[in-house]
Amino acid sequence: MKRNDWILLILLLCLSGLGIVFLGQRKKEEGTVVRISVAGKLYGEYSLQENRELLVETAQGFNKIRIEANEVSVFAADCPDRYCAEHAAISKTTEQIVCLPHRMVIEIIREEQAKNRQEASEEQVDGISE
Amino acid sequence: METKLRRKSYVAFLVIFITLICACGSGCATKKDGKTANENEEKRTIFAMDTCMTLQIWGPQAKEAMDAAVAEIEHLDRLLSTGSPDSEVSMLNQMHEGVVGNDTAALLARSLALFFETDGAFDITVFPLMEAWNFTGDNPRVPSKKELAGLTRQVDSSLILFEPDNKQVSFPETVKIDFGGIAKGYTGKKIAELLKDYDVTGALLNLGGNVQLVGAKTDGSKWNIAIQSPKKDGYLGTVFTSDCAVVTSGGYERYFVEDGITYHHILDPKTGYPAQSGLASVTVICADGTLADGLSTALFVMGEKRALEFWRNRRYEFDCILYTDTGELLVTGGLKDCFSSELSYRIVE
Repeated sequence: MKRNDWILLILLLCLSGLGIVFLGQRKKEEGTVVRISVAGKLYGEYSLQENRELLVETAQGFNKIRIEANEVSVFAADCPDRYCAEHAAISKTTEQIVCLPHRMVIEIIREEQAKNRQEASEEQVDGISE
Repeated sequence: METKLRRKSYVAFLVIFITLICACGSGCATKKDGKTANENEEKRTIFAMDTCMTLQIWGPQAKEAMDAAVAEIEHLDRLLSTGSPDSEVSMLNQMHEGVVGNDTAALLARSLALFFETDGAFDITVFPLMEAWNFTGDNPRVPSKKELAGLTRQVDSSLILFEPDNKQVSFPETVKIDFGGIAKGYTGKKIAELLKDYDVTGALLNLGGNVQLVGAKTDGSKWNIAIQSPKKDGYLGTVFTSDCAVVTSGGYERYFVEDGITYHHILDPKTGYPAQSGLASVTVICADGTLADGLSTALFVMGEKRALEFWRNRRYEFDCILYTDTGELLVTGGLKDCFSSELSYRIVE
């Protein structure tokens, strides 16, 4: 093997190493997902990191959802009680926004891998009694 | 020539190697997005008992346990729903007498005992009042004073005759019952018992805000359960506990506003109006989910003084957290080592 072969080998190994690091980081960022379900069926999953507005149309009516600054909230809905729109924006895995009349649930799903120990001890709420 | 060939094979090998790593990386990521990380973990959200329930179960047979738990919830919902005309409760409300099954009998026994123990603060015969207010319907309304006065005369659980031995029950035609104040707690307790048959290591059952805990977390530690603030601006605090129910009742859960006045769904059986006891929220922590559910409603109706008196007489059965309308946070003695909060609070003995 010539010297150039070694250089090429090391270069490619460095590149693949960088690739792995990049993938790992991307996975961590994408780990936080907003999951929307209607009547128990998955409606869609969206990144919590990408700002957007969604119109969820159910058999009973609509809910308008906003993902902004790593938080999700319902900003408009035509349900009779409107509890979903009054609910504060959520950002943690234990939190949920439920629209009972429309049977719509917004959840935050975070991958276990992306959630390191320290983060877990900071949030450390497993459930909410309300 | 030979070196060139060799170099080509090296490059080919490395390209394949890198492609494989990338494919593996993204492949794992995709798989993880769709499924929970732990194969022995099951999470499901269902709509039942007029609320949204989220069940999380850990253990080698988590899937089977989950299926059994959901089937049990659906069974109890069919049995106890006042909304469906052919449920056992609806049949009783139409016939005013009959022989009931094991679950309804167990609920009747507990409900009647609680009625007498709480001096009427917990009463399953408030159903005609709930119907008049129509909190769960599309058009809730404030009934007239006269209407409420007439209806409260019919609210009295002592009119129910129940023989536990043969499960025979009867009550006057004016009486109607609803287990809404206790059914979710009973369901939590029943599922906790059912899960023991499935080698479940831990379960967190959130039945519309009623939390029932079974076993421990995957790392063997207890659970940290937050108590919702009535103002919905965060938590009142957290309770670090296991194998028990954490049930909160508050006027903030279901309500409507008419002419600028907020009317919440926890009715005082004696007045027929939403309870104005000076409490904004009551949380009961108790090994028995049925008791936790019934007591959270009863203590809310009773108010601070009576609620604490009640606790002092039965402090080995349960603990509670009271949050008053004036923003005072009271925590009973049994919780002093497992309650934490950023708010200032007082331990009651």
